[in-house]
Amino acid sequence: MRMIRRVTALTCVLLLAALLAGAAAQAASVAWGSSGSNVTSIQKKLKQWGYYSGAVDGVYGQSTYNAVVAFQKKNGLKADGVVGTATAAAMGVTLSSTSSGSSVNASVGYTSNETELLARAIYGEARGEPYIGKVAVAAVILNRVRNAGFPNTVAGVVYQSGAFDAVADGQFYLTPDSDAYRAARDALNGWDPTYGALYYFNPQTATNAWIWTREVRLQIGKHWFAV
Amino acid sequence: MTGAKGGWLPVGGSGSSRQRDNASGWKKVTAMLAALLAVAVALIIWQVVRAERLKRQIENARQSAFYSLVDGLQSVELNLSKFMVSATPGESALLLSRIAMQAGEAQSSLAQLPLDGETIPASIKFVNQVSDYARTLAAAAAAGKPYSDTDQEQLQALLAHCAVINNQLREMMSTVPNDYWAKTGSQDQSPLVRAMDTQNASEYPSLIYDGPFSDGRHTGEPKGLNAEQVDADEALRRAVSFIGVERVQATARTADTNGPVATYGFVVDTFDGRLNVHVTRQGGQVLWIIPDQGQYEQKLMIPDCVERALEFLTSHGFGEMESSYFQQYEGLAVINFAAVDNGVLMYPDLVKVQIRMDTGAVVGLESNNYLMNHTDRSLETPQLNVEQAREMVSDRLKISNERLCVIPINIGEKLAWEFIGTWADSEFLIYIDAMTGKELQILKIIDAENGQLTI
Repeated sequence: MRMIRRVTALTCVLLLAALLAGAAAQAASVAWGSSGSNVTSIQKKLKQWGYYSGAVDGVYGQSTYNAVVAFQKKNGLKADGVVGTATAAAMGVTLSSTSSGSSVNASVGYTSNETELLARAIYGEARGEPYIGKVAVAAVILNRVRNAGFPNTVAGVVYQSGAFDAVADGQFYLTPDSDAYRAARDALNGWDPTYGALYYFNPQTATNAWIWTREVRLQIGKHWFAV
Repeated sequence: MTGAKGGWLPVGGSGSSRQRDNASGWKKVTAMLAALLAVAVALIIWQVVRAERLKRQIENARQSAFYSLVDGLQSVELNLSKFMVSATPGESALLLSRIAMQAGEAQSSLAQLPLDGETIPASIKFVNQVSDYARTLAAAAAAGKPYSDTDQEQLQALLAHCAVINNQLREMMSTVPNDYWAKTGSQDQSPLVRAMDTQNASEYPSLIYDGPFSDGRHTGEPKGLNAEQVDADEALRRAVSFIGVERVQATARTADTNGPVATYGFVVDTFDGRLNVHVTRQGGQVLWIIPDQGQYEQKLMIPDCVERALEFLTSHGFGEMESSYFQQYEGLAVINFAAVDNGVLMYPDLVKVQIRMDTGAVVGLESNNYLMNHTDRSLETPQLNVEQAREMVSDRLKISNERLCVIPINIGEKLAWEFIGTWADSEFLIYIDAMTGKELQILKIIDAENGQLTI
């Protein structure tokens, strides 16, 4: 019984910690160079109150910066031009969390959907791995997209029948953490620790004899990366 | 705990009332057990029915994918054979676009079927290449370029290969039992694997054309690396001096990478966090740096980050570079730089730098493109001047910037005029071949929430 109580207490603490961590991760900040809906809502507020006279265009530039600093000075906040939790609260603006990647639609173009799919694959397949192991898993998926022997989209590769354990056992549908998103974006930006690997496997659990015939390029954490 | 005390079974005692209690107690227990059993049976039946329904759904989805695959490959075969006997360029181009589309659909159906590791890449490669090759030829036809004899021969070989697979698939359709499709996982010798196996089919040749899946597209020799071979100690020394001796606290060796560009791996602990660094064995250059940590406070502005990154590159011997694009996430700014040669921007020679947005320290780098492509190019004089090239751009685009640049294409690179402009509130980049005036590429800035051009 005491054991149960202890477990319950521990669970509560863990749950609380998780909630707090989630809240902390959600608290985005907006500063010079930011753009998007957060900036738009800040500009609207500042315009209403007469701090800002420029266009509500969702781009944080010089005039928005001046307006934010003016607002912060007037309201006794640290006048750093960064709209963090405190400044946002004073403005009455809720900042949506940092999300959705972006990229130039180059010869192989990627969108925020693909960032999301990659982040899920990373979290489902490699959340216990070192950070470069996470980037490597995403890089393998992107290498497959570019390879003739695999489907030509991120979704096609990720959902390919039998390709990823995490998709088969449902771990793919867990909510990824911030490291998973960062690793997804790093891979989309061209970081590839595997230098072109198309496969990875855990030598301790790999049941497929065929996988051992592949040429191993490097080992990160529990995973061997191969072509 | 001792005996059954406190348990839910009636405890035996003496006297008739106790016996009556016992009897009614047993009755209660029996009733409860019966109720439990009924619930359990109901649950089991419900589960079985549900499992049966789900199984049928999987069967149906896979059958549908299988029939789409068979349909797709038969249409590919049909249109390939029509192409062989078509004589007018218009009809040929139309057939090729159809082949490209149908092969593309066959590829996506194939990826949904349970196939094993070895067979699937070969089969997908076949349909991908048919699709890609046909699309490249159709595009060439649209540009008025006729097919060569080699193209004809290669397409004929693909047709023969396709016919063999189609025969095997037809045979399989008549022999495979329905419940085959519901089997999870895949076995080495499943009927589908045998049907897609092309060992008996004539091997089609390596396909060389201009598309992304051409066999002719390989990485080639790194142009930006000299022939010098460095050992691990020298590589570490270079990694440390690249990062900056004053920043480094500790270093350790990690796994190296084999492959076309072999590297030595290091972990370098710095005052700005732990960095993973790989240095090329040939040439001894830093290939990439990846920081372990992220999530820094956004204190610096992007122009400051760009300036710091540029300073870093210039002081590390990268020559003249210009920033073209940036993104920011998790408190890191990621800035793209391209080399500049006599005012011409070299997009193939790309370096990406990650900057901590709280301290401005350089914590990440990616220079693979730069090391593979950077070389002294003897650029040709453009046949079109900027006015002539601008004539080729759609009137709808409101041009804000134009310059000469070199862009990578599927195989090789091209000298082009770049036009940046807006249409319908969206930003576009259009590239016009500086030699022929052909529109080479149209890029659109998508979802620019965290990223922007710095041009």
